[in-house]
Amino acid sequence: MSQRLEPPRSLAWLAARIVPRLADDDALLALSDRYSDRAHVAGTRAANRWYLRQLAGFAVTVPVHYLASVFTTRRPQLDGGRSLAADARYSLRMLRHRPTTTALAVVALSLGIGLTATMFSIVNGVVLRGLPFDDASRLMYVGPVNIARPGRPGATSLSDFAGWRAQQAAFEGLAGFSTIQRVVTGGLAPNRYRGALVTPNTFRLLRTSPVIGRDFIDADGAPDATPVIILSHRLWRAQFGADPLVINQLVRVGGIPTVIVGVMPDRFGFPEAQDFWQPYQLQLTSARNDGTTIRVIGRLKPGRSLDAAQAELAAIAANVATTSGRNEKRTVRVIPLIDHLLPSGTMTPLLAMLVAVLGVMLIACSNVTNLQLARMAERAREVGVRTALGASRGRIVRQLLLEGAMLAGAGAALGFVITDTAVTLFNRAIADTDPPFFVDVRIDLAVVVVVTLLTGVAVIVSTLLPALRATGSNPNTALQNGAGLGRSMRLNRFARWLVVGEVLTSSVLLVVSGMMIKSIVLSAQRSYSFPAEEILVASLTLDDKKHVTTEALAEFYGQAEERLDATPGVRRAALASGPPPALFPEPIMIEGREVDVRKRLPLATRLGVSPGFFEVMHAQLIQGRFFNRADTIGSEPVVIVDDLFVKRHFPAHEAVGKRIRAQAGEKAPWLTIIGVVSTLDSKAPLETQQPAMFVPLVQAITRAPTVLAAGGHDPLSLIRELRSSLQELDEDAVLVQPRSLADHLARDNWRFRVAGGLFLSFGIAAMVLAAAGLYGVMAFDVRRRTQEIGVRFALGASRGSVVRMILSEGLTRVGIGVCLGLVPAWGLATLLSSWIYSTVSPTDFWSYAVMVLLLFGTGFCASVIPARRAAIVDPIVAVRTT
Amino acid sequence: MPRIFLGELEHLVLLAIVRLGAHAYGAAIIAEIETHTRKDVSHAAIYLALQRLKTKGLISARESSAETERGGRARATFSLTRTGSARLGETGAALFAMWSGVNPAVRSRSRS
Repeated sequence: MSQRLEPPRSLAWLAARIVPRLADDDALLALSDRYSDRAHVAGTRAANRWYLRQLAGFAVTVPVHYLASVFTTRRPQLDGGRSLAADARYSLRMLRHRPTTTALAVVALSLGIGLTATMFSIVNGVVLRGLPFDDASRLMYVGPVNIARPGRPGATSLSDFAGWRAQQAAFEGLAGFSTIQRVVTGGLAPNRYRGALVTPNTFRLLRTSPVIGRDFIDADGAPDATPVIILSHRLWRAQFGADPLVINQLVRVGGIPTVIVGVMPDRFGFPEAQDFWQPYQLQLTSARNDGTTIRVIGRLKPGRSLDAAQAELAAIAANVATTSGRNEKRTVRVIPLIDHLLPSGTMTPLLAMLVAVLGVMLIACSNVTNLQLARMAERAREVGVRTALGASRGRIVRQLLLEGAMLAGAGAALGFVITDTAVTLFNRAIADTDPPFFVDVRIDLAVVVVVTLLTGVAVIVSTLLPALRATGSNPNTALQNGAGLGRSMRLNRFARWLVVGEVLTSSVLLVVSGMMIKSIVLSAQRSYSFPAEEILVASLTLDDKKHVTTEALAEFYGQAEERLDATPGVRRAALASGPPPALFPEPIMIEGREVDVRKRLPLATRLGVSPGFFEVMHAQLIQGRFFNRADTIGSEPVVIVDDLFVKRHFPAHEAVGKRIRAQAGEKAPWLTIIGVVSTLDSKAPLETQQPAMFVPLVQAITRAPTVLAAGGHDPLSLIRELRSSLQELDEDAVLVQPRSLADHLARDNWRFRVAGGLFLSFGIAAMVLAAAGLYGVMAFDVRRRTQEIGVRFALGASRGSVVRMILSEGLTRVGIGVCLGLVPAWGLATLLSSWIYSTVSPTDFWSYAVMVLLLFGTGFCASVIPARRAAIVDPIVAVRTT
Repeated sequence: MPRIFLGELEHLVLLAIVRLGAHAYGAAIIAEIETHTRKDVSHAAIYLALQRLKTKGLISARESSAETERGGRARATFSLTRTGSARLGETGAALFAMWSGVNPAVRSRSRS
């Protein structure tokens, strides 16, 4: 027999550690026998490889075997417990034994899990799930940005789009779109509908086809092609009763006969919740540049990265710019499409809220940890006995984990109910706020997975630590220590810091929710210098083919104002370029004043108004004159400014006759100030009002003006009369979206209401949980220290001093938590400042003061019951108990 | 329908145990399977299959006394339980039934 060859020592060492876990000792010997045989036949290297493969097999198989045996074990155990089922029965008994603690733990966990799952559903529905298109992560938005200040890319010119499209190779294709509003008549109620112009390849890039009819084809985009339209599912249902025969029917879009060729699937929207889509009908050439802009999307080819596409397009854009000799200050930026479609500043508050709610979850877990710690301390003796009888540490930990799992399971079930309710409420709250079409907040698989994970985390975080601590010490000590509470000093110190952490987290949440609530209250207290409830606002839509020239439009507006004015029930009517007050201030220049480039230009809002406007809005003339019919397109450009404007820019009241430039551009005309009116006050308390200027509507013409009509207490009842007066003048002129000015101004409050509601529930949940946690720790503390308190009484301490001692200990913890919470609270409030009403500063005194009072109040309540319990300790009984 | 078929590896292991009789211990079972199938098998897979068959109650294990020539190591020998024999018989019968009448050419081709 040839010499026996052994496997390398390292492999043999490894084998000796792995193999016996699955097989007997003989298996190890058999492996090395085989190794020897192989080494003789095929060489040591081959034998080594074989041996390693065999070991890998064991390494993979051992955990499988181990897991299988944990769940199917039938071997009798040394400690008398028979199986998982026995442990489960035992755990249930222990939980029933202390119903209050159990209920507290379940409620805490359900709040933590429920609120976190709610917030996750929201973030998931808004951001994480992404756009509802096939392989949506490859969809990109492409647009120009300023090289010096690259921000969100905007829309591009048609010539650039044509250039990019011809030269790019990184995308499967580029498509362009822009949103439009058109009056659609024929077959459906005449109204202005929201639509989009798209290049014919758009739906192909989005990989969505119409449910009935056909997609746009390239021929539809030719300048002389028959006009076609694709309807949204919603419009098709609402206006055509989901009639499949709608295809090939004619409708009039902006007066032009148009063929319906398709209907998009339900819930499809692009770029927003559009009602219809039409193809661009134009010849795309790089020479075309009439100021029309277009927004561009593309689908990355497989294997191409965003960066590569970005680099390629930037090069192309530079090339296109040099050939046409402009745009040298701009480059192209590629961003994921979802980032373009989400309103800017959506992510930060959402993530902040997710962080906040994780804070609640943390509090819930530490609460349960606390409760379990207290229980472990009481059960030290039981654990000691079980250990002494031979139960392994693992076995006891397993039983305690099972208890935790039952608590968390019940918490998760209850939490699910909370989530379901909250999601329903959230959807109801955002329903009339026109959210992006892809926002779809519901409980889906991802939410279920998150809830499951949270539950798992809750079990581990809240029970593993107490369980390991409880079983980690010598059973002897536990058995000797009588009631078993003596050893708990160490546990209790840990629990106290947990309470401090809970108070800290809830102080942060309370401060932010306080600010949110304050902003809601403030916005509800808006006061107006005009009767906002009595003024009707509506948008006027015109047929694209009528009143084409500026002059015709100006004339029509003049006639329209007269007609509207004469309508029965209307006190005064006017037209304006938008609903007052104008929101976005523009930079202005004042003639004769140096422009300091280091300073920002003065700002003022601008609104084009017809002569009746000031009467409708109850504005008083302070100086000069109002507009009149003599202020026309050709006459001298004039402007009326408000009181605030004068105070800010002409402190000596010398405004009338001076000239200013709106838009602050070199080419903008100088406007002569002809009058000063009282400020149209519509601000909430503390909000800063912007100086306003008004120009004649005819000198700032728009095709989509707003009609204002002052009537009685129910301005909406005027709409029918107003519509018919207008239609006598032009049957295609339609008034849409009628509402009172007060309703219009209150519309912006929803996000404070939604976000404030969410934060308030987080804050209150956190506060309640922190109070429960504090109560738990204090109550346990008093029970543990009964003997000590008895001794104090015996030595002559008064009841008052004992109550004071317990109370001050509780409140100290609250105090530490509150102090530590101030900085993170300020940080979160700063982060959320765009969502918090602009008038509430991140250092708002009252929000902090209320938080401090609330937390000390609840802290007091949580400590007073244990303190009273301490006060009635009978010294004789207490000292006798050991 | 009650489950009658054994997994391929379980089937092979049970057959090896029957063939080896009183000498059915781990290393011998592996050797038996490798000899007859002319394939290399993973030791771990065989031992896992043995554990599984034991859990299912198809085989039983007996710790044999330490044998001096094996260095005094304990080794387990396996034998079929009544359930195990029955299950093996059912699977065998089912496979024989399926094979009967199949063209001999297929059988020889599949063997080569």
